[in-house]
Amino acid sequence: MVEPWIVLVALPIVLYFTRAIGVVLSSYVAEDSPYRSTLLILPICAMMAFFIPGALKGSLLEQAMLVVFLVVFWFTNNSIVSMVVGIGGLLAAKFLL
Amino acid sequence: MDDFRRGVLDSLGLGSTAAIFATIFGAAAVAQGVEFMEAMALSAFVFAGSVQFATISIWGDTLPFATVIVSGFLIASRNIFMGMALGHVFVGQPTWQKYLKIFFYTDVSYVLGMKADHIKNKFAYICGVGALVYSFWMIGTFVGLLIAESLQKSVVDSLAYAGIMYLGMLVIMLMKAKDGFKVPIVLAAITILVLYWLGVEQFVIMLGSVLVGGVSNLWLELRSRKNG
Repeated sequence: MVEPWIVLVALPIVLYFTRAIGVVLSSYVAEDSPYRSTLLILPICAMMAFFIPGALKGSLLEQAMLVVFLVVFWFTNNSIVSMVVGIGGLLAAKFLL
Repeated sequence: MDDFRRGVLDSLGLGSTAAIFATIFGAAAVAQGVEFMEAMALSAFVFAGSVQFATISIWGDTLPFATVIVSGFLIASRNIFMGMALGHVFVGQPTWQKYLKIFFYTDVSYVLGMKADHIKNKFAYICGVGALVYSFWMIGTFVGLLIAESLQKSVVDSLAYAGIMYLGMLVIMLMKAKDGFKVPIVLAAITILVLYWLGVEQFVIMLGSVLVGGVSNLWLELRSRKNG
């Protein structure tokens, strides 16, 4: 167990490392390499690995709001409108139900 | 218009939603007993919402160092793949600029950078995105800390799910930005569902997803090259 200030120093270093290491490694992959298109898909897979379990952990109501939010975003491409709909839905569910 | 300013303007929408998420973070931090300056320092130096939320969830007078660091690394490990995919943009830049601006390279920079095929100087563009998102992130955190007292904890908890919505939005943007990924993405999603239902650790889920998506995409790519 450590005091919070130690975490406040160490955590940014870890985060910076995750950001820097990928950029450094990318210089070893050629532009026309067959690995390049595969590299493009890895971040999507990694994000989905956090998104899908996180979505499944929500209540039924939250999941319904998520579906509405994603459908709105899919068709409008407008992040602000979609977020207003999503957060508005979450708050409405909290106060009305 | 130069590409830095184009990046700033293009990220106004996603930056605003990030600000909302940061406001929720600020309010949640107060509810968890995080001091004002500690919360601001987390946003200023960590600058990664999902990691910050995970960290404040176990905040206290003392913290389990290994747990915080390992979980922070695992949650942020997607940055490694994002860096590998778009890292060539940083090549050829002055060293100090390159390593300073890597700090501002986040999900939003990556997503908008991937979509910006029309941009000539992607490095400047990504810097513009990073500058705006960072500013909005800090302002959002500050506002959240200020209004925290007037929000019920249950309201803050109910809004925590907005983080998942935000992540879902980024996934959709990435899927729409590039075509030809459909089969590997579906396979990766199936893998995630199976591993989740098997109750394995988050890191294993991510590894499984990345492996299945990556290997299937590589196989399809090599097969299409072979067939000409």
